[in-house]
Amino acid sequence: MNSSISRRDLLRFAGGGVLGLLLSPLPWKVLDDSAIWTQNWPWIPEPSRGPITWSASTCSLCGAGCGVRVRSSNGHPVSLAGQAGHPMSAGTLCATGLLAHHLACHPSRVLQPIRITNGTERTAADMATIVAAIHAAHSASTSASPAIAVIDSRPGRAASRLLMELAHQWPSAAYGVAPQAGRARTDLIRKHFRTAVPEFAADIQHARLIVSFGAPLVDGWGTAATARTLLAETSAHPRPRLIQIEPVRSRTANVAETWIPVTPGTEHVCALAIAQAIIEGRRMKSAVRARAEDAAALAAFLHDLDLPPAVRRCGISDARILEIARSLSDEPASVVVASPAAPEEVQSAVLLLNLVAGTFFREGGLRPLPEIPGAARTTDARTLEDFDDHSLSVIILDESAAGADIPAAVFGQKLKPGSGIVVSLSPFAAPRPVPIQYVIPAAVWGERLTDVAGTSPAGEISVGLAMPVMPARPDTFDTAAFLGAVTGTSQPSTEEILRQRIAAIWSGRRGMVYDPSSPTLRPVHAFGGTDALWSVLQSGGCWIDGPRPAGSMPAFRFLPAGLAEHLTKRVAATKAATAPALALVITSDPLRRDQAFDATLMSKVRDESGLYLPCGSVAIHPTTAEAHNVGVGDDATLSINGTTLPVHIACDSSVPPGLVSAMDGDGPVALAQSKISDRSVGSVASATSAPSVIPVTLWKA
Amino acid sequence: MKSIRWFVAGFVVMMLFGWVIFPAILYTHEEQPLQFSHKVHSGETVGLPCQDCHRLSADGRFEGVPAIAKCAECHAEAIGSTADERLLVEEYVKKGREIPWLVYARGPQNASFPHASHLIGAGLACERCHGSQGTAESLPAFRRNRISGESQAIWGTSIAGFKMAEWDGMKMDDCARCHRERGVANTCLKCHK
Repeated sequence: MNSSISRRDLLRFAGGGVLGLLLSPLPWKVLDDSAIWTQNWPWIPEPSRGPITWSASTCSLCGAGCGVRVRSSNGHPVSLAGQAGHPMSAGTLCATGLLAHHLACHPSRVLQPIRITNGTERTAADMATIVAAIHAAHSASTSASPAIAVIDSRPGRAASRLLMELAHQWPSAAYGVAPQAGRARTDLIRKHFRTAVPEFAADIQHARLIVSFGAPLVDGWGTAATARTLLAETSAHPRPRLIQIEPVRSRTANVAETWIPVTPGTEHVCALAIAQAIIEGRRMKSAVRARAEDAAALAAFLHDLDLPPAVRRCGISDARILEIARSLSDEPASVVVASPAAPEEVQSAVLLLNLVAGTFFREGGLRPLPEIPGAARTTDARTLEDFDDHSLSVIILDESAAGADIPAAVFGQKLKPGSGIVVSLSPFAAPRPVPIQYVIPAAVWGERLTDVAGTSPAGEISVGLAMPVMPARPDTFDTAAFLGAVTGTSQPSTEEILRQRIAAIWSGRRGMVYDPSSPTLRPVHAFGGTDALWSVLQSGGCWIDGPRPAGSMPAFRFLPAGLAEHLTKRVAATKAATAPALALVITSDPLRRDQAFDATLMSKVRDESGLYLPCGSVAIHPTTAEAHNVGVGDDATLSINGTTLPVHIACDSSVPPGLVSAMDGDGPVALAQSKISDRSVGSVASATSAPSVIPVTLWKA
Repeated sequence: MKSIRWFVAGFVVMMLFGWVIFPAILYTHEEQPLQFSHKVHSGETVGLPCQDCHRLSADGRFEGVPAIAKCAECHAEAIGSTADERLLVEEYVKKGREIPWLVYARGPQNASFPHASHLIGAGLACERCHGSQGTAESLPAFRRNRISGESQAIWGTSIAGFKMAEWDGMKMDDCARCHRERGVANTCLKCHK
């Protein structure tokens, strides 16, 4: 008997062993345990064990001022939820707000001053060096124009006053604000009125009819409560009727009562046609006609525009335009809104339509925003664009509150060539195309006390306090501490300046205060004094401006200087435009607008949900793909004005045939945005399928 | 025939390894700092109810393992002459040191388990999750998973994950199953911090 073991025996043994192993719990248990092990890397923060407590605060990630319930374990926040009765947010929180407590551990978080060279290389920096660079610019300044721009990313905060004071103290410095979404629209509105008017906000909460020209109403346009107002149907508050006029079927278009696809670039024609239908149908209200100085001139202007040939390009029937005109004039609580990113002619045409429909100074329409007591007036402050070109030695960018959305090219245009520096006070240093040289670490939400001045869906203003709910990192700064370090002087603490603001609210005796412990709204005068107000706001309450009359319409002009010429030119361009093979529509992803403040977990959930087109992809209708011989997943090149970007082709039947949809954001499209103008001509060239080039006309939605 | 023998041998060896040897080496055996008889304390000898030591505070928070001050209420001086009793009094009670118990039911850090909701809200008995722990004569060795670091009580006694009893295992599946059976929400943030 041969007892030697052959290679074949060993293989048989191994084969049996593998089968035995697979039928034992070993591989599966090791897999499971390893998965748990990988969740417990040493650098992953561990939620503390300890008593579970609840507290209330205000979210400060944007200016909405949503009420937050903070659930803490051993004094460390572990989950956030909305405050059910909060007047600003009515229990809702956005995706980013729900995970605001994760931002303290964000991968882009900075915890010491850093220097950024060549856009991406980071090295530790010395605070003294940064301060010396700012001082050198200050002392070397001799010209009459400011050499230092102090840019406030979120004007209206109590800290904004400190930034203004620095600009006052230093003759070489000037205060400026980051471009605000409604700023351009406010400037356009003011041109229509002879007397000074405040900012306006759409009263979404009381509107019964909303005509939206591409405004992402449920997708980051307002607050989470705005979306709730539009989506939730209750007996006390039935859903308003929403007509969404937009080239692509966006998420807002999906939930709208009516989605009207419109040819990209013709939205202004559509708005003007509706206005004309109201006038010609003799539906303009007598009150509007009485306050208008040029009603007859407007009618003549619209007639002379000869809109019908342009309207045919919109892809909207005359009957549909008449129906919208009728609805707008019949419904007293109606408003027309446009995407903040829409071009100026769309904004102007939409404002004109609002004036014709008489939505100004009306409940459910456009209502004036009152000023916040104790807030520095910043509506007339200049933006970075307003500074002289190549005049600035230093740009101090206070990004401790999210909000700065300054095109990268502007920095290069305003800084002195070769020597200008940008210093940012920010909790994060995410790679982005802005030429920032130094980042000073700022606190994130929940680490330090700060205030939030918000606007509700009803256009009401509020003030809340974002309380510290976790220990602050010792090396981080808030605006007051940062300015103290820069100027070398003692600045009032954040609490001191916030108390001054609360004192101003108390002395004004205006508005109501929401107390989360009751929870009720009580008038300010029902409180005993500043301390009682402070105490309620500290416990997660908020001050909200009380009910106020809508106001009366002052005299106005439909056609201020230059508007008729501008609209005439744009309508003529629409009539003359030759139809492109495809129109490229770049839509913006509201949650990607400020990547640094994006909670990483929610980004992952969103990216994997398939709800959003990923950056670096363009979507087209399957029939369009077939017609142009491109396939799903094809690698392609998007070329716009000489900027070439690698993209993937995705087929999406929600994109109307004839359009190419791309997502704005932190990907290559965002980089391209800084280099392209509104109507650039480009192409999408597929490299994977049979080579094909699709000419496109860019249209920024 | 020979070829099958080698195959079967390999099969049997790895089955044995996977089902018998692997579980033995996967978990540590850690002795508790001192022995404690739940049977003596909760049985006829002393007759304490579970809630006397493992109580819910006034705000609904579960206090878990009692602090040494609670032990000191009865054990300020040694009761009996066992080595564990001496250790308790001399090393912990008199020195005011907390006993570093190894808690079998301690779950992962990323989840929370409010005892108040389960005991009062759902009316569950302690035994539903802790089995006969409350009447055990002695404390078994604490077995920690060498890979995940969690207690064996979380996975359960069966290496294959089979539930040997209702209380056996406190995995997410077990929580989710119970929630499903009782019609309680199963959303992530219901349990996860």
